[in-house]
Amino acid sequence: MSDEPIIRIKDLRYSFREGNGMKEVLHGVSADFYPGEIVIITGPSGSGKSTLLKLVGGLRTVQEGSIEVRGRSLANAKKEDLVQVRRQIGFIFQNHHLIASLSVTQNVMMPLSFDPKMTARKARPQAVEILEQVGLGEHVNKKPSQLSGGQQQRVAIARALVHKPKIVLADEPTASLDGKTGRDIVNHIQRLAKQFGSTILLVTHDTRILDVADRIVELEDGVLGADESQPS
Amino acid sequence: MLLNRIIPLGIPLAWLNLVKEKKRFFAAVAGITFAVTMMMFQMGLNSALFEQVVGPHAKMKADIFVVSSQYEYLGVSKGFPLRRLVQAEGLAEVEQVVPMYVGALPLINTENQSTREVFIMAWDPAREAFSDPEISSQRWKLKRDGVALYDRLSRPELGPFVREVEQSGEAVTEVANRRVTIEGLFSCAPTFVADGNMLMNEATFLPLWPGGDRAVVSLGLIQLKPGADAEAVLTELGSFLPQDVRLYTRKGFLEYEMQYWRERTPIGFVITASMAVALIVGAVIVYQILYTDVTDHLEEYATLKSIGFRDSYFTGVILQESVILSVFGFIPGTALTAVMFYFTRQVAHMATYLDPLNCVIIFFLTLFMCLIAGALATRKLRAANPAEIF
Repeated sequence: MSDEPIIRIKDLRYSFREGNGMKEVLHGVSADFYPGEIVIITGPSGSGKSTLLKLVGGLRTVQEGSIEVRGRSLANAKKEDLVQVRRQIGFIFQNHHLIASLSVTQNVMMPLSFDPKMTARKARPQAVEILEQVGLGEHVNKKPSQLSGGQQQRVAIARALVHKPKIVLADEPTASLDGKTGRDIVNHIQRLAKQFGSTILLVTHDTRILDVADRIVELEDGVLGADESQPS
Repeated sequence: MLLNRIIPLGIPLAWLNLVKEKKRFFAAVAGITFAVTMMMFQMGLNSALFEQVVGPHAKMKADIFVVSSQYEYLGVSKGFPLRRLVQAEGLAEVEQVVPMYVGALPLINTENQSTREVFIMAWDPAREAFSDPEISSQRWKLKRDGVALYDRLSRPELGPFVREVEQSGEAVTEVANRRVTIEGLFSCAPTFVADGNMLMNEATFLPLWPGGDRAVVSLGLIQLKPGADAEAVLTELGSFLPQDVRLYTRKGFLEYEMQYWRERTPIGFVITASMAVALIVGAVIVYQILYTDVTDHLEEYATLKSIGFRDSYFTGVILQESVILSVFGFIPGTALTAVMFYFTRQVAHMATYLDPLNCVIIFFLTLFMCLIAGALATRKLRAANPAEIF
């Protein structure tokens, strides 16, 4: 593990507008995450886990405090800076959120278009290869609607990781799946991330998958609890 | 490469999104087809109408037209001295001049004794005045006094003459209370001046016309020798003929006459207005379709936004959809217009044809209409905030 953190969060506060007032969900969170580590963030519903992840992923704007992703500060970031941050991140959502009118392979190819030198001829085999790695080699030409829920989530993982992002953010990736399928999904995420050397932040309250983590962080009432280091 | 920027990695999201909802795609195409057909048909009708207005002029055999300085249009013409044509005939480049006498006179409908005006063009049939084979071949008939040729495209209300001539070779009627025998037919189509046309010998016509005088000409046709430059001759004639006449080249005369009617009638305005209505209806339909499309795909667009696609990508997708829709509506719209033009020619005898320039204009209007609708629909994209959707 390298000594320089890839993500640096300092005194992060975040509030939502609620009725006429504001409701603070993050009350000064500070944390560092290092290259290649798998961190699971747990905590009860409404503790701000999801919000934290969206802030790191550049989907919400920083209100107070600071986040640095690979040395780039997200506070006061311009629209284009956020685009660049998002492109370096693989995002896995609770639901697969695949594009219905595109084939499985086309869905996975989409993030590869960020590389201006990429061509369809080079991108397709790359997408097919990662689909084979998640066990979907036979389904590459199907539409997402022709697949089961677990298979759809595996396509989503392939899409998040196809461009070998340095950071993978996963927001409850197993929430809509049964236990066995969920386990299978987490294994795929873990294996690919290790293979590409990506850092993973995984938000979940599914206790059955905690064992994949190098480190578990608990977020409770908007502050980070004690780090429990997981012996690996 | 540019294509790779517009359609990254050859994944045609715009096209795939459009054809996924077949019914909606069909509805959009039908709406644009309607707009295209309406606009193109109106434009065709417009140009056909003005073609028709100058139908008689276009058939006349002349390189230069001479009219009185007070000339307004072919129906109302004060006339000018025949001497001017005699002067013009002196030029070496002039082959021959033909004085024409025109006017609208009452014609008896022999079926019900009602009277309608017919537009008469008269000249000395020893000379060729029309470059129309059907008229040329029947010119000799007019050498006898009291004989006329009748336009078979004249409105049927004028009388049963076309049928009678076709059946028995002649039809007898009265023009301005004088017996006239119609011995042949030609095709020209009515103008704004009268509901029908007739050709006569000047010797038959002038006595019918109040104050008709051979020395006062309505319209002078100057025919040049082969190879002569009409513009140059026109300039030369203008230099010595007095100010009581105006001179036009063939093209200039037709332009003048069309312009006169364009200004005098509300036709141009009516047609422009109905084209604008078609354009707006089309734009509203396209906007509705694209707006629904954006709403349906909002979650997908938010997903793509969250993995790093820029707003410009989605705007690009919507505008591509606009372009696809305009092309898909334009093709059947043009085909449908061609069919309607065919029937208009058969039924109304109007020269309606697909004009390449009009097609280009309509295509760009359609494209413009779809792009405006698309641009309005992209405003909805701002709502695709990833943080709000997940």
